[in-house]
Amino acid sequence: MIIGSLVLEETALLELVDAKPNDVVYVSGSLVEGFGNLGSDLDVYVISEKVTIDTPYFEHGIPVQVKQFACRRVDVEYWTFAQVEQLATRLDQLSFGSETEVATYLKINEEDFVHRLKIGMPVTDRDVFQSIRDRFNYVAFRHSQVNRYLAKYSNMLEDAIGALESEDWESSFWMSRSAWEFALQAYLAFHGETHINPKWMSRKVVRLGDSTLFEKYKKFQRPQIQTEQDIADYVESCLEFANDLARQAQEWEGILS
Amino acid sequence: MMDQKPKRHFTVQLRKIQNETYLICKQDVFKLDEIGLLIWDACDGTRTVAEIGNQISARFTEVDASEIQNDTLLFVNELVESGLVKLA
Repeated sequence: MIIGSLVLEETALLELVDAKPNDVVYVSGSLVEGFGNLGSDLDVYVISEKVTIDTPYFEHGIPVQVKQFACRRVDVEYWTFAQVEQLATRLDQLSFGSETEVATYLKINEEDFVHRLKIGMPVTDRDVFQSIRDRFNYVAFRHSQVNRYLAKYSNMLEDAIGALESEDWESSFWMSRSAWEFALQAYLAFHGETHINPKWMSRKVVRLGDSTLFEKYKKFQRPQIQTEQDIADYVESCLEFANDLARQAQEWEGILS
Repeated sequence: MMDQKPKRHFTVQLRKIQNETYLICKQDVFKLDEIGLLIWDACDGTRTVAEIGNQISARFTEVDASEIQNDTLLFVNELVESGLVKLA
C-alpha cells in the first residue's frame, strides 16, 4: 500500500493492531487525503464484532491505541460493527429544517469517523470495507457539516458587527475573519469537502481549483492593517465575502432528494 | 434612483430555512419571495436599479416590463429604507 511517499507493508500493519480474522481494518487521515507531511501521524481503524483490547486511552468512549510504525505515530481506533451501524442510522435520521437541529448532529469524533471512512484505504477485505462505506449517507453528512458551519458563521457575524459598532477594533477584526472562515468551511463542505480542519483549509481551497477564491483567501488571511480605518474596511469586505460564500453554500435545490 | 446601484449591506445575512428565504439584520428578519431573492442577488453594487429591472423582465416575459420596473424600484426602495441595501 502506497500513501504519498509512504510505503506500508499491509501484513506488518495488521501485526501492529489487535484485529481478528473477520475484522475490518483501514488506514485514513491527512496522509491518505494527500495533505500530510513528515510530521503527520497515521490513523488506523479497526471494526470488530466486539472490542476486547486493553488500553488506558479513550476518545469520546472509543478505545484508542497509540503506536509507532515506519517512524510515524499511529493512532488505532477500535469500533464495533454495532456502533458503526448506529452512527449510519443516526445520520439517516438527521433533519435539516432549522438551525436549532444543529445540536442534534454528530459529535466531532463521529464526524471524524465518517470523514475518515469516506477517504479510507482498506487493509483487509475491500468488498466488506466498501459495503460499510456505502452504508453512510454522505449527502446528509455534507448537509450537516454545511449547517453546522453556517450556524457558527451566523453567530460570529453578529458578534463581529456588535464589536465593530462598539469600536472594539481588535475583536471585530478577529471575529470577522473567523466569520468568513466559517462561511468558507460551509462553502467547502457544500462542495464535498467534509470535516474541514482549519490547518488544511488552504490546501482544500487549492484543491477546489478556483484560483480567484484562493487569491481572496490569501488576501483575507494576510491583510495589511495599520489603522482603525483599515480594520473597519477589512471587516466590511471580509463580511461581504463571508455573506457571498454562505449564500452559495445554501443552494441545495437539486442536490437533496 | 433608477440610475443608482444598490449594494447589499455587509451586516445582512441571507439564510434559507425550511425552503423559505430570510434576510437577517441584527434583530430584524425579512422574508423574501422568489422575485425578491432575484433582486437581492442582483444588488451587488455593479447594476443600476433599471438594469436589475431589465434582468427580472427577461425572466418573466409574460409580465409587462414597465410594471416590473416599477415593482423593482419599490422593492429596492424598501430594502434601502430597512437598511438592508445602500445606494452607490
